[in-house]
Amino acid sequence: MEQIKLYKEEWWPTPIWYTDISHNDINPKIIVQECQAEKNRGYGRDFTEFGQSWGSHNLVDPIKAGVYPELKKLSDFVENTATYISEDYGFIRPILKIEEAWCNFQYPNGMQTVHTHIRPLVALYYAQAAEGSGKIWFRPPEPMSYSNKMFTKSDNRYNFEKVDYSPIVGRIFFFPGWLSHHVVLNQSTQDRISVSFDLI
Amino acid sequence: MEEQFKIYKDEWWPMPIWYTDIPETVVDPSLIADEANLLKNLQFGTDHRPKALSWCSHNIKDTVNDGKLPEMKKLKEVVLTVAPVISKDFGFKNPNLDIEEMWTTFQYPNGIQTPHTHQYTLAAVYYANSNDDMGKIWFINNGGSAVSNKSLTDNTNKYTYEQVEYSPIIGRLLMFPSWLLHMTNVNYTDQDRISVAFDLK
Repeated sequence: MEQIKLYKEEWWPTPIWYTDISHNDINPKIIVQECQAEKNRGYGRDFTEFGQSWGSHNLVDPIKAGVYPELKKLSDFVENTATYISEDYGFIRPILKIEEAWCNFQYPNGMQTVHTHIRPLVALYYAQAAEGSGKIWFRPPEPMSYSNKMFTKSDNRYNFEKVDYSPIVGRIFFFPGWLSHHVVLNQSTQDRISVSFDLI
Repeated sequence: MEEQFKIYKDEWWPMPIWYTDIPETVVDPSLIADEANLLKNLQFGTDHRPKALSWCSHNIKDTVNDGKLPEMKKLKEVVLTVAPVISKDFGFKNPNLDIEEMWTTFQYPNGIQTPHTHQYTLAAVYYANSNDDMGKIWFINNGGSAVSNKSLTDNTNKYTYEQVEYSPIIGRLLMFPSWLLHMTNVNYTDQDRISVAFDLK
């Protein structure tokens, strides 16, 4: 059967984009301070009972008002990068705007359960993330998810049961809002502090 | 500032579709059509009219194994030769996928096949008598991105296409994961499109 040449085409992959922002351009320590200031102000929700975490309310307005200059720089970066991603992915809107932005504090022993976001693009920036503070796990979309588990070895990019990424300070991820994800246990002794964005 | 940044991209869980064009010297499509017609003349199958404009044979795996359909047997051997390559590539648990079901389909003029998936793990289809006007096969995005893609994207690339289409080319064998939603467009000609389908596990 040497005459048989097999071709392969691949459709509908799930993209995850990421980049490492220089600490000179956006200082994660200042981002931590600004998130901490918002937390000290009590402008947020405490999820201690559920996931050992605290999440701020939507910070879009205070950021726009210049209350948090480093978060403003981060937001500008997110919107600029989103334009590139929108073109790459093929979103109808060439210019995606931040609809919601919020700080997350994941306490030691805290985790985030599986969820999706409602807007087309999500961005996630790590400002403080000690070793072992909880990787983010992405789950395959259905129906691959169910079938893969039954029939495949979960050993390659077609069939992994999940892919995980370490939280690295200064790294920002972008991914489609429909992509199911969760964060595993923060096994460090520090809060993991991140900033999330929903864009539309 | 963003000019200093390199954006990395990982891509996960793509949906693969494999295909190969089997030379006539290996499997003769006109002989496959003859054997398919023989099965139809023997009424070894089900006519789906008027519900659907098609005729499908029963499972012919055993008949083929018995050597009663020699060209179909050659086709089966090609499928079983390619299947381990695909199994390894995709990462199926079973390295030696076997044919569980094999059947011929006659798609009558004006007939279509509605969207469906298959059971088992790998599906294959071989075209014995067909052309572009006889109904392309459409693979439809049924992953998590499907709903979002339709409302939020322009459906112009591999991430966002609502469906991808393949022409039914005589002698071509297409193979794809069984859970991939697919359908066949209208057969606009006055001839039957004749194909052979396989379910492997």
